[in-house]
Amino acid sequence: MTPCPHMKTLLSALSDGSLTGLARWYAENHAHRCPGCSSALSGLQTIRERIHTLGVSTGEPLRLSDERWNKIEVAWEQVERKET
Amino acid sequence: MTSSLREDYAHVARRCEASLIACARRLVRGDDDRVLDLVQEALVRGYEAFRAGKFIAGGNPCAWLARILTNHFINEWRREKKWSAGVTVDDVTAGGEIGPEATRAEGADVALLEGTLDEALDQALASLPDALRLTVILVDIQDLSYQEAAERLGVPLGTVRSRLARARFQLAERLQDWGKERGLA
Repeated sequence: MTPCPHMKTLLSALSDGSLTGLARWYAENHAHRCPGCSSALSGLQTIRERIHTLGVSTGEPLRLSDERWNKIEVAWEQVERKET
Repeated sequence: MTSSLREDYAHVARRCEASLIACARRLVRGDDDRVLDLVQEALVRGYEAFRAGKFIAGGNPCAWLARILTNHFINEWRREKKWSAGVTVDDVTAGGEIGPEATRAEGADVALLEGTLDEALDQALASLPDALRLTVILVDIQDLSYQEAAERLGVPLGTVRSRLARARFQLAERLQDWGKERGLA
């Protein structure tokens, strides 16, 4: 189901709790009465929860090489020297 | 001679390596060298901040370093954007304030969205234009307020709000497509 076009930004803000006052009241009431907006709101809330709990990114394992760690160590020494 | 402050920091850096790489991978799409460059730079900048007493004891050091990494990425991205003439992401992706009328993912099937894999969500996130992806990362992953995200990105608060809406609806659309391709919808 498709939400009403004018509701998209309001529904997005409603889904993360950032909507307040009259705008919130209007969006909640509208979503309550409109199946398309109600469904879209549920979807947005689900996506937001999923993103929030997204685990470590997938893909090939990636690590800093020993060479990179050595460069980092050198840079840390430079940071210390700059202070003195 | 290694200072004990550095030993402490090195311990934290090693512990946070994987989560920083994951964070950088979400910011940079498909360029592992750039991912590692970002992490390396963040660990050096983090040490400067650590020595300056900017890390608050008791806080989450990996989240703190991830913010340093993200800030560095945003600064680079804004610099690059400044030099690239032409349209911005807001011009490209907006059909009015809220994006193209024709997007059909808004009618999100909650069951389908709940059933998609992290991998699919990661790919959908990676496929968003930089400005939209960054806004989602700042607000939905790093828990910044709209105001804080606006300050980091150097854009008005309303732009954060509209980018978030566009990003979330685009994510919904891409996840629905993902489900349909696999016969889940």
